[in-house]
Amino acid sequence: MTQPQNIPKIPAAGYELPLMLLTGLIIAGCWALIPGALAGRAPEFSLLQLAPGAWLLLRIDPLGVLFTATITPLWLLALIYSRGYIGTAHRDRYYLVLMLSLPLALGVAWAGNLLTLLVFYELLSVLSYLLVVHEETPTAKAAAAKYIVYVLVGGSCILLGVVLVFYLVGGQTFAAEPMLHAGLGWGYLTAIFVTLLAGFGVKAALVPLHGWVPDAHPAAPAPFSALLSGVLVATGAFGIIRVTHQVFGVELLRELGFMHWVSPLAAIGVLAAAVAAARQDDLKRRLAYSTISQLGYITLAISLLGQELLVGALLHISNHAMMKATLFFCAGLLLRRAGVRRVSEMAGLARRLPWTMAAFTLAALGMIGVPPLAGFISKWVLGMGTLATGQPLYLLVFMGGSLLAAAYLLPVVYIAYFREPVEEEWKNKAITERGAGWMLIPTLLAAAATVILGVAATAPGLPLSLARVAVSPFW
Amino acid sequence: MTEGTAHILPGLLVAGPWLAALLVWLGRRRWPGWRDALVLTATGLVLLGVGGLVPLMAAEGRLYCSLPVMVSRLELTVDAFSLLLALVSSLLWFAVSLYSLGYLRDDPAADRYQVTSLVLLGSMLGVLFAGNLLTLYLFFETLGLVAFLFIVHQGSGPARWAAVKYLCFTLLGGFVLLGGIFLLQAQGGGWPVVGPAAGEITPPLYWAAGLLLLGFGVKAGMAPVHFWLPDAHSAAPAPASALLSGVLIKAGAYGIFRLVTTFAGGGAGEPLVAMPGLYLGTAVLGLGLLTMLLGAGLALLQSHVKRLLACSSISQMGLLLAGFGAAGVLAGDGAVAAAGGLLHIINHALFKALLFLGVGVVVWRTEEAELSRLGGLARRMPLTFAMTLVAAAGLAGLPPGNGYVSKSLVQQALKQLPSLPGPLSGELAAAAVGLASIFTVAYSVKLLFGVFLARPGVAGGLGRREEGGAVVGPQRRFGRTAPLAGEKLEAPPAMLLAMAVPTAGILILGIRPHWLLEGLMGRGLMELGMAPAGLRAFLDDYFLGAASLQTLLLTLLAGLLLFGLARWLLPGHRSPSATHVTAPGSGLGRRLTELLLPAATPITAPDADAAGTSSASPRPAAGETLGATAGEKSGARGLVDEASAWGRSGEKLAPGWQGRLWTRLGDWWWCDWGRWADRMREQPWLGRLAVLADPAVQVLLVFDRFWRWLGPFFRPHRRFREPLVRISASTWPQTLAARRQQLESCLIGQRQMVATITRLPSEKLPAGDMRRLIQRYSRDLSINTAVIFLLLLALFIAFRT
Repeated sequence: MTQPQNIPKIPAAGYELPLMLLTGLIIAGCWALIPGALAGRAPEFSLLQLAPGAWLLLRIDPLGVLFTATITPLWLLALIYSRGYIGTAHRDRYYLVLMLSLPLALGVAWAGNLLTLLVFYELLSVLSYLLVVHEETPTAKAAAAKYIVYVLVGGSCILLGVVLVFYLVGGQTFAAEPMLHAGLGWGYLTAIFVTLLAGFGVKAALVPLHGWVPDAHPAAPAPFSALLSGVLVATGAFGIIRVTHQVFGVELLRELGFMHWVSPLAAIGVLAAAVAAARQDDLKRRLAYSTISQLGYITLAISLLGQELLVGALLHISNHAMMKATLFFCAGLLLRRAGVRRVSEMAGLARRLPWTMAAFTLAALGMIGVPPLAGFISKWVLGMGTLATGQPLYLLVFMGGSLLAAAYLLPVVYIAYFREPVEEEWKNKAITERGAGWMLIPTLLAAAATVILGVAATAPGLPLSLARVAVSPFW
Repeated sequence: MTEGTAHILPGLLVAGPWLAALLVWLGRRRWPGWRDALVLTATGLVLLGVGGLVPLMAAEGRLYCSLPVMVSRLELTVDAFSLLLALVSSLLWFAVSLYSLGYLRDDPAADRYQVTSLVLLGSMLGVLFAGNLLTLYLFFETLGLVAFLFIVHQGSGPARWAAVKYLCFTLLGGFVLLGGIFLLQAQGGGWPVVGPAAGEITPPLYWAAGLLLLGFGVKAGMAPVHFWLPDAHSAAPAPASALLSGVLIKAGAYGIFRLVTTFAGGGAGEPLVAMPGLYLGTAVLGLGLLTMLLGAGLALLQSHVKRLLACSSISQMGLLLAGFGAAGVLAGDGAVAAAGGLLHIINHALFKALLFLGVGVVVWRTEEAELSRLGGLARRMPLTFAMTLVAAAGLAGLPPGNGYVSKSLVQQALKQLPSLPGPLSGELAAAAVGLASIFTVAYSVKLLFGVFLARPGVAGGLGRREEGGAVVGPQRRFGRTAPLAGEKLEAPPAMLLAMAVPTAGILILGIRPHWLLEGLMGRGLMELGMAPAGLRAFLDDYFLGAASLQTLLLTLLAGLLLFGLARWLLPGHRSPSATHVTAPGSGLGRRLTELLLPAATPITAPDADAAGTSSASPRPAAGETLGATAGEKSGARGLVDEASAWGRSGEKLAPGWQGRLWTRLGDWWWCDWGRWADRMREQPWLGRLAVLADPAVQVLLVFDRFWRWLGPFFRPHRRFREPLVRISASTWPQTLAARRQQLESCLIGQRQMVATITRLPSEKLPAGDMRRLIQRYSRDLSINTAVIFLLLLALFIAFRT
């Protein structure tokens, strides 16, 4: 059991507040785009020409607006949290990379063609290496190495796919009508599909390619773990949506029948990762497996090719981001305040860290899908969508996934609240939430967002309405 | 539900308790008296508000209240049935809250209890008023999950174990329910009128009905999924048990009622054509009968007061499910059955809550819950006894009590049943209800007799505490250490007042059910399309008529006979080992006796008898014949009486293994055969019959002993053997602790296994080997990717050609 260190007050670097303000402005900007997106507008901006016919192009369509509106608040929360979490070692590098990756993430969301998507996506992935390795312990270095290998191999797969698409149809912008058509021959189409799916699947923790996730998450600092789970992994799922619905298109995919192979893969991933999560003792590792399972939900929903299901997938991206951020923030608080990494060491901690565990409980219940929290909404939409597409068996996968979520998250809650602390001395240690405001406030805000995203799910401007608008052109 | 009048009151009623809960939680430290005042005000206001809905609904018809929340709308509607149940719920909630203020006065976690209680009140009203499936699920799930806090409240090992068990069942039930809700919603069904919009019955609807039935059944304690109930309801503190057993499980019953009656469809007088109604109704009927018989049998076997009541709850839920099933089968003509079931919901709520409250007072005062150690309390707490007596009359279905009305309604309805699919028939069902009634009489008498009437046991007779002996029984959580002798045992006035509320309800409903049956209930049945003519006939002809009284008398006599038979046919009952020492050799026999008839003749120890604190034991306990016991008389008396009653105290004196063996042999001989001979001599004829039954017990006992002897040599069969041993040794806490540990270690995952493709070496990583690592990871990843590529390509090729 690690000793709970009595952390001294971290001296301010001075640039935290301006950075937070800047991020606040970016959030305001991203949210200001929502009304336009609800109206269905999709303005385009050309940035620069890399080669003849290959433009870097931004296209702010509803899909991208939904994604940015979801992820930018997470960045702010992570920034505030970092103020209390990140020590002085490598701090400047951390903030620099964190702030640099925000515009890159925006670029991924707003990418107007495959090339732009690839560029921003690769930059974001590679830059994240510095955040994963932040603590520079041997474990962190190894995890980061694993991460970068996975991501680079995935990136080269995407590059291959993008080159193929360019070769076949040229540099088209993303639009409602798909880029590819059946006349290209199934060999090419298969190659493109497999390369792009495998490439984005690495990031989206598609199950045979998920190996980096359970190692990178525990190694990374908690605020970045939250972003990793909430945003970076989601960019993979986002890329898959772009590929399936804007590169291939629903009709072509139905015709090719690729998705019959992807759905079982994702379904197995959902269940296997959840079972694996229940077997982890390291809290962050457990949460990482939970991310794999939840991302499996999203991939499964995309692969079933239903309109309502795609809405559910987009909704789940944003809901999952909030809930998982809360959980990782709580894991960070437990680590910093009580020195606890393992679930089995958490006995009785709820008495010492009441707000932390309250937020954890709320997010855990949300993840399980208890009404009226955010997770329930996505589960409801996904369930109804599954029935609407006429594949009721996959409903079992969704239900089984959330039941297993209860199996891996509720024991944590139970142990923290109801099990007596084992060691007597443990009770007397100075474990307190006092002075943890920088970490606690974003945690509670994220937990509150979990409630709001659930209770007011239908309010215009929140993910559900945006997702409906974003998805409508594809059908 | 678009017809009706919009009104804000239902919404306020649901939100109000939640708001009050928030206020209680916020003010828990600042103002100490705040909690009591607020809890009483809130529950009182809710009661008034629900009462206010009655005239409102009479004037304006169906009320609804709607709010855009979550995926669709939060919709509350109030009709006759939900209003009826809401009335009973809020009435009981008020009474129980009043009671709990006294009961939990010294409990440090009382704030949490009250907050939980208020949240549950809001959720319960929400379930009853739910106007669409989403709202229903929201409140149902909240209700189920928050009730966890009620069960875990006492914080002891068994309570936590029971709570975890409950949570597992609730979560599973919730998911099953959600599955049903998905299917129903996708087919265009709604709530509270379940039936599909188009009227077409499709296979998914059967699935939906089945899933909903199972989901609600978990909550209602229906037979194949009732396992959580006895543990959970007996682990909670008394007021919580009263609410759990009285009100909360009715959420499930209410759901099944809605499901069955509206799925059946069909108007009044319409012939039975709706097949789903028939099948669903038959299924509910069959499950209900099974639940009823099982629960009654289990209740008769319990020796723990609250477990007995919890098992009786299962049985009573079975009865009302049988009523609902009959209503589903009879469809338009099912007024009597539906009314019987609904009335039994109300009646059971009243009498079971009162029983838990009354028994709660006893447990609270004496800190004793084993029937065998209670007794003779009728004189010490006369008012509590009187009220519990009324409740027991209700439970047993005897006329001044209300259970009589609903029970005979259900029984009458079952006799009207047409031919059913499967082996069931109306006569069989009615006979099963009759049998269960006999059991019910027997265990009601057992409860009353054991707690209040039997010769005083240890706690009631105050034999031990006075002498400052060791405290046995459940661990005390908050200290009340004064001896019981001089203490007033009767409940304080506030708690008595709280108990008077359901008592009044029981008597009113038992004597004049007409008001309810012809009023609110009749109106609701009309709305549902069921002609209430049968009800009128019942009230005029059957209610307190000659035929009814005759049946009643027979049931009562049979029940008493069952009780007496068990009492006389089994060897004299003796107190189980409170200190949880396993009695080697006598486990199974003792368990049987203590299970079958705990309180019949509690034999107290001769020591206590000699001290003059306890009443005379009918005959000398066998242990006394052992010479060893005499030497102990001057020893630690508190424990001795316990042990010597078992004739095992010699173990403490006899040194060495030979001594132990000798003692054990003597124990075995004297304890069993000596007593056999004694009793043969002393008994009158009925007793001789009883003594003849002794050998049967002895055979079981020898069998048990054989198992135990076999134990150490038979390792491979341990898994098979252990459950048996566990049953026979009444060491609940130990086994519970072991099983809990098992569960916990399983849950947190002691064995680590990482399911990734490559596994990171842990901390011991050579710093310079990054290159090799990267090589390994890229190799692994490329192999994986290649495999996937090849697999997909192969599949595609196979698919194309």
